[in-house]
Amino acid sequence: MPELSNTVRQRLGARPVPATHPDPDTLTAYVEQSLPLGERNQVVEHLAACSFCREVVALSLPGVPEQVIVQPVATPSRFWKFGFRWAGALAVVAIAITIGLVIKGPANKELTRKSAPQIAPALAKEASASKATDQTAADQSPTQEASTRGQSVSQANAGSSGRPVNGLPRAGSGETQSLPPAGRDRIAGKDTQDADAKAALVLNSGPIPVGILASRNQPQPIPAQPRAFVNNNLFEDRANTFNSQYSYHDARNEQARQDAERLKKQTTLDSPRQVAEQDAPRKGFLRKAVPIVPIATSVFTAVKTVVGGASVASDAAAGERKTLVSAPPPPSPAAGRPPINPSVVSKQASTIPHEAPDTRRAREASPTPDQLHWRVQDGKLVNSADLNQWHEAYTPQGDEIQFKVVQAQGHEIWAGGTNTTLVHSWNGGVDWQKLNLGSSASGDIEKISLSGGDVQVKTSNGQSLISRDGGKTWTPLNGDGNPPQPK
Amino acid sequence: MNFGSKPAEAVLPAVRELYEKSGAVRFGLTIECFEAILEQVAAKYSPEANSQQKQQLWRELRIEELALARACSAGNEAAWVEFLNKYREKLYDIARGVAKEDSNARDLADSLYADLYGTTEKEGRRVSRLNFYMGRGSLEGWLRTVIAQEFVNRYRKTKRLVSLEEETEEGVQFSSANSTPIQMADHRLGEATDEALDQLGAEDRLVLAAYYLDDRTLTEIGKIVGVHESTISRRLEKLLKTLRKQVMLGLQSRGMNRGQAEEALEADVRYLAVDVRRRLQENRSAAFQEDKGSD
Repeated sequence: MPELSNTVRQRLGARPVPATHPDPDTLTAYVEQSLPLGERNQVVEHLAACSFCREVVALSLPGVPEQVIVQPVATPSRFWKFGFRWAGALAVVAIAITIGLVIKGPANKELTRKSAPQIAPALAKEASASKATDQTAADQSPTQEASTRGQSVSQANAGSSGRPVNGLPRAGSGETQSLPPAGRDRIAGKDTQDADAKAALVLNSGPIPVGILASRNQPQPIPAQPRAFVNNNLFEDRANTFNSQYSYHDARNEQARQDAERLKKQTTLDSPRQVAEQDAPRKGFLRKAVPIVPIATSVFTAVKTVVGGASVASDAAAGERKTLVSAPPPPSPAAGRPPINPSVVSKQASTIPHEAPDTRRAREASPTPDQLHWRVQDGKLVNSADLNQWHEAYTPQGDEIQFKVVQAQGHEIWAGGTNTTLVHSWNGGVDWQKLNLGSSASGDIEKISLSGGDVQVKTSNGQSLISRDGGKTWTPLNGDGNPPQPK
Repeated sequence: MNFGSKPAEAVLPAVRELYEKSGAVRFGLTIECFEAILEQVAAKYSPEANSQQKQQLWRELRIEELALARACSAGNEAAWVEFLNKYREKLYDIARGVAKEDSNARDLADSLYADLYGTTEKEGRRVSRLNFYMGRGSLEGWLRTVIAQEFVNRYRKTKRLVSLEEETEEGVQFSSANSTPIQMADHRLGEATDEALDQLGAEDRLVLAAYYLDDRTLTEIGKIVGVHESTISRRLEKLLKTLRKQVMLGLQSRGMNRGQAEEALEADVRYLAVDVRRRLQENRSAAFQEDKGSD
């Protein structure tokens, strides 16, 4: 929208304000569109000059109902899933070997000589043979156990998509990597079949079982970040927490400690099924309902302070970028401004804070609802998104038009009225085109029929016309409903 | 409530019909009281109306909600129970919608709730704010408007008081001395603009003011005016073109040629030193002062 020139802005704001204001009853009736025309015009005249009443009316508009949307989890393509599964496993094994070489040196020579495919089965065999060792190690170092679990999850994340948002194990996939460590230890120690399962686990996901690492005094890998949330706002909050309060490693150690505590509670679980059930609620947030804050809320995220002549709209605009869902609560008008203060100076009143114009205009670019309801009311063409509030959709320019009929098909809207007036919108009522039915047409349009790409209108004089090209040309129909044959 | 007494036979049939429809009898309102309330509404909004016009006005009222509000105002227990059941939660929701912040919203709603119950006394009687409800719009809408008014009043009141510390934080001490404003190049520009604005309709001026002065969105303006937002968008574009054209014509009629008029308009954008904020605030301040006495 073009900007208004300074003079016009100044003169518009300096128009005299009426001495009296409409009472709340009248303003309410105005908002609810139940005022008679004469009174309505008076209120409009007042609102045009009175910023106070404009603000009151704007604030007392019925709010937008809260919407709840369900964000589906993006499923990675099979190609990536296949590729990253092995890439992740190999990468982790390589890192573990490298770390082992660097830190322990000769103590791990035997381990490093083996290639990755050789290591995994060997470790699996050791796992099945050393149940007691595993259990002891798990009991002695819960933190290490938790950190290994974190690594496992991290690899699972990397294997599935490589992005934190999609790093969650998919619900119902049945992959053993989603099992908690206590469950895995149970699997390893139960019988040989379970030992095979553990071997499969090692082969699939790559991490070395914690017991073996502990028994070999291997350095524990850094635990991965906790599972990312699907919702961007939650993920962003967690990221902010990391940035602002803790160092990265502190946060991970804290997470590892929490996991270790949870691990102790899980020792009573007997079967993988129970373990999976225990884990199920955490998968529940794969589809999380996110309440969307009404748009009106975001209006107050941008504070335009005009008292001191300094604008802080930039901060507010930054807040706006955090998405509507996580829009922070607006600053309180009275916050930080004690009403009684011995050193108080008087200042001019200010406007109610509003959204910054840039963000506002960006939001206005959002599309209008696809499905509007259309009808003709008192000769006017009106539409509504909710069947409660009806808005005039077409303002006649110049001549007076009394609409008689309207037909809508998707975004195609056709409306007819007096004096063969026919208007057409191809984009749901945003733009309109007034059509000419030809000199032979007369009377009022009383019926519009849409069939495929054809539009047929009928006038009050009994004429029927059809257009097969979206209203560019019109052909009169004979009495039998067919166009006249060329001679 | 003392509305005077009147023999029941003298009550108009239309009033009787509305009385039955309103359910006022549940709250102990007599038909005479009810008629007095209707007469009060008619006296306020159509003081010179004849009987038929009055009846037309009464039929357009939210008669059930009017009876409920006035019964509450009169202190009827059953009415208060119904009011609380219907509107107490809504009151907080509305306040939250207006204030956008929980503690302020609760404060706002509690304050209004006290006003509705009636804290001040006049001649030994509580004065309830519900006594001002006339039923022209819904009671919920009326509560929303009253809360909005209260919020705007409070906000403006608070914004007038700024501590010296805050001023210092804002860096007032570092601001340069007020420079002499550049005078408007030609007073004819202002006159031509005034003339062009006068030629616009009230609704057009409302749309312009809401968009350019209040920074309202197209959707909000659409709801205020009662048309679709796309209509507002088109109307704004058309208005700007019309305004420019009218100002150009006004300048030319005041002795400028076309080139000079265009130059004056360009100079307006580049050099005009108008303290728009100050002018607008003056305007709003006046509105606030006048509003304090109303209602």
